[in-house]
Amino acid sequence: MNTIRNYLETMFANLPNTPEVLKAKDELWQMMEDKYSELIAEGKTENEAVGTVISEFGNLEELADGLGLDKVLHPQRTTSPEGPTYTEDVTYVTRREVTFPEVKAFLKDYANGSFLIALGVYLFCTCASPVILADGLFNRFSYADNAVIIGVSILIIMIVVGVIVNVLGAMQLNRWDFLKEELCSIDYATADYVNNENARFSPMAMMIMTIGIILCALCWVPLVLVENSAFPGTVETIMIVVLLEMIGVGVFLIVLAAMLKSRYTMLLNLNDNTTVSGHYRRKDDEVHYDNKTVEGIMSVYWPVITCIYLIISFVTFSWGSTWIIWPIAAIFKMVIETAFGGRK
Amino acid sequence: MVEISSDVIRGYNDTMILFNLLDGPSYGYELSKQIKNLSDGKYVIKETTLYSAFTRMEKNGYIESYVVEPGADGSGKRRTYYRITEEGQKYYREKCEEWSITKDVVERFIRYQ
Repeated sequence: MNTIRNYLETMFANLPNTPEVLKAKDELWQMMEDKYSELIAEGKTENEAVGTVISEFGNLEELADGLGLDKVLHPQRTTSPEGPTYTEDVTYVTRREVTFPEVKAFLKDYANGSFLIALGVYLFCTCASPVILADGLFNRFSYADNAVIIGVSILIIMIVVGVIVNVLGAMQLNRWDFLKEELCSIDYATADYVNNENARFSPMAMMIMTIGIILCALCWVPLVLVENSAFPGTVETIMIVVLLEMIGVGVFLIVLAAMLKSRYTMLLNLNDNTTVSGHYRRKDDEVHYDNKTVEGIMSVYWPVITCIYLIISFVTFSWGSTWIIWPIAAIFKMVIETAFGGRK
Repeated sequence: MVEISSDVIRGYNDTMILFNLLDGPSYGYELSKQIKNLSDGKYVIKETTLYSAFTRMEKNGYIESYVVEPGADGSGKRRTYYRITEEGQKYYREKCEEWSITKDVVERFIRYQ
């Protein structure tokens, strides 16, 4: 069965992903599958069945007219003074083909960049810890002022390092900005590779993301646990730092997982219905908003919700009940999608 | 054994498909099987030939397609079914007349030796 699927994919690998082509592929697949199943049911071996199905497939030239592919399969020769040239079909814009080595380099750069950016975010999240520690632990001693100065210095160093790390990360990513600005495409084999890598990485990304979310959601627990401790000052200080670290590590993991995952989607999204890469193309199930303003707001929806959650939680310090923001946000998002969005 | 010439038969793929649709809607593989059986295995229509005939005849309004979801026709898969239209029936009758003339003309030049 796989042999037949591969045969069909190979036959179609050099055709653009227009709706007509996809429909043809789908329906030819239905017929081939039916024929294969029946041959197997008649007692033919797998090899015989595959051989018969492929030998009776015919050739794609026959479909050219019906698919509007005549120009793709037979570029028209026109003779000009410089010799024969091919006239391009106007609907097929020339795209920059991203090669397999480039794709591998992109994935590597993006992994490095993502790590650096996530690291920067971690440093920003936790930069208050040294000051809190210095102030909370040493304020009873004579060198309290010096401790705070050291704490503030470390804070400044962390911010500076955070900025540097973020700039370096952004530089790694900027090299590939052309993927967003130019029309690009990847071929079938490369798309297949990217898709497999994506499938392989998905469970891990899911796990990293979940751990990150759990850390953020439960960051208030240590603080609540020590509410009635014998040494309120010291223990509380440490627990506030633990809280910050949990948020820092949690956000680090969330950012890292999301960015690592997005590099695959970004590559697979390069193809649309005029590119040639078998069945890999932009997913249709993304929500598209008719209203530009709504679309803009929704693109930063979750980061905004995260900020609101953290701000409200820090201000009110009622971590035990602020988590309610998440389910409310999810429901609210569905409402907005229903009101303003439409699936393509 | 002499094989059927695809050049000659090409003009009658539509006739064969429409003939099989006269008694009710059908789908790709079933049609190709019926054509093979009715011709005693002398003519096996290629998948691409069949599909290009579908698209062409649908464009001309001779047939209509609709999708049957899994389970609805007793099979476990999603299938595209085709049914003949009024236009298609008219076209089929024309093709039949055309064939009887063609057959009559060609037959006059055939001498079995």
